[in-house]
Amino acid sequence: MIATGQPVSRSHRLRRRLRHGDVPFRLLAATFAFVVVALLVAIVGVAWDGSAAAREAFGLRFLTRTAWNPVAGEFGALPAIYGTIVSSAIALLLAAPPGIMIGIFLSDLSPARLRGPLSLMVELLAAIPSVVYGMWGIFVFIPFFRGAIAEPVSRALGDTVPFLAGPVTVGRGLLVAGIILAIMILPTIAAVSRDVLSVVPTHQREALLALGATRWEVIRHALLPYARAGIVGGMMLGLGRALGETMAATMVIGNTPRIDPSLFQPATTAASLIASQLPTTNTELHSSALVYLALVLFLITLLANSIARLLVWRVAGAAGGRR
Amino acid sequence: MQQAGVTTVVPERRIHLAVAGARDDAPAIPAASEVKLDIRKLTIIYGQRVAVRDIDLRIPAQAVTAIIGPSGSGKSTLLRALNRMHDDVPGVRVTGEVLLDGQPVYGPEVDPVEVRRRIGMVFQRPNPFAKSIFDNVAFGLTVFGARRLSRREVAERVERALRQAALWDEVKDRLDQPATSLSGGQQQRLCVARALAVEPDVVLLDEPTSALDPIATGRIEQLMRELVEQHGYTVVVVTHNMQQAARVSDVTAFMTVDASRAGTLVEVGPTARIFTNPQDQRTEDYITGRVG
Repeated sequence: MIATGQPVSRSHRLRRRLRHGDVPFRLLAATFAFVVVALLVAIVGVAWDGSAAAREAFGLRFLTRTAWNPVAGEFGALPAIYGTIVSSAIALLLAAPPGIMIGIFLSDLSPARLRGPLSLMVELLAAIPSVVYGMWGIFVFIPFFRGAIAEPVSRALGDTVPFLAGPVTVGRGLLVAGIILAIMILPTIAAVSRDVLSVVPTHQREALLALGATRWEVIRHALLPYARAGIVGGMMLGLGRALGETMAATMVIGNTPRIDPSLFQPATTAASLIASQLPTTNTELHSSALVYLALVLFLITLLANSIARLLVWRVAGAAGGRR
Repeated sequence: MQQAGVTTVVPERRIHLAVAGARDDAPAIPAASEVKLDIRKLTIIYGQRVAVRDIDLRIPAQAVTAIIGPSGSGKSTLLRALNRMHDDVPGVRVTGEVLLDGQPVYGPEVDPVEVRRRIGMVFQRPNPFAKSIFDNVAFGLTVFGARRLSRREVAERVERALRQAALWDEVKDRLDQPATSLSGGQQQRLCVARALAVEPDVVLLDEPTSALDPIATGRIEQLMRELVEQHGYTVVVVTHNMQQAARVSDVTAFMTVDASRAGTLVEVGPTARIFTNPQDQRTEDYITGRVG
């Protein structure tokens, strides 16, 4: 034991730190942190390299071209970008309200006995492999959706509302993909909402309760304002998953690189186009175009994440400043 | 009291100190008609553990009642039971009765929200909302007030509450500034004003000065007296500070932990008597600083 206040030699200090594992542990942890950076650089590098032919042929016009014809050597990313963004937007729109409500229920309204099992089931929903969601979509949801919703709705409104135009053929399409994606991101939004709501300080809830607030008023005025940043973050996590989701989307969207205003018509997403075509490419330009598309998808998710970060910072900053 | 000379001298001095601030004109325990809160056979159970057992206590109207006792004696638990703050805490069971002006506080037909509007509460740490000073006080009126108030009525009631909480003069020129710009003591008085704005009958304070410096503490203590003497509220304060209880309260209730580690009420009476002539050995041990 060294008495406190006594000067300690440098070498002694170094030996002590080494013995306690400080220095080796720090080096090890730092190494792994930098591996992440290296991986990111490597992936972007490969995508950049692999897309050289397509970039040379189409340049930035790739983003606005609508033709995707491997036989004729015509490639444009717009249908895939459109399908990716629209299906994810539908998913977020459909999943956010129930997801937040599930979070509120689990953190605040559920009887204590139900809380554990319900939370577990929500997490289980997130653990289901996406191929299973896709299969469920094909065998259960699409037949139901086509008969009960798509056909009657498009018959009734299809002529006046272009978004709902028929004819509904196979039933696969943008809306179906959006709904399946919504189910897939629901547990993410619910779990994050639950977590951020349950860390809202007790004193804020009590302040409202003691003023004679009802439960709903406590949720509305104490919980939601406090947890807003975290809930937005959870929604963005969900959006990130929807944007990149490949297997389920491929199975239910119809894989048609075409922009049709009707949500009942088959479409494609960037991820599903790459997954369905990359194994069967014949020309270098075709595979290069797919890699280029991957690069674009990467940029879209990067953009979505940056916007999410910005949103979270803004609401967190605003709340923090007033806290 | 068979201790040697030295040990008896110290307690007596302590008693003297404590009584110096106590009020001489403290009323005797009031007649039944003046009872604001009537607590009967109240038992509170946390999961398996009995936190507070068989409390019988009558809180006099328009007086300050202090609940004192060592940590873990269930003072705050008892206080929170008075306006049903335990309702939404999982695993807490409350049995027995609490009557507010003779009307039950517990019971299937009683709305806890209504109870909390009549019995306001101030907590250990100041907990203003992340809003302006004005909006904090107006919150209970504008956001979930029973009836719509005009802008002017709201402003009047905010001013009245801030005046009653002895904060008006300090904040009248900066009502739109965030509540967090206030000092800790001011924030606590803001929380009092927030509770008063909804016009309760009873104000419960749960160790309201434990996070405050001595000067801010003095103002809160003075405020508690004003609430009773000038504005006719009934005040119940939980404190671990015996001098505070002696200074501000008319009636003192002493709680302690019994053999089964449950909180029990040992003794209640006029503050001056509790601090000068306690009937129970445990009370005497506590106020003379021998335990706790």
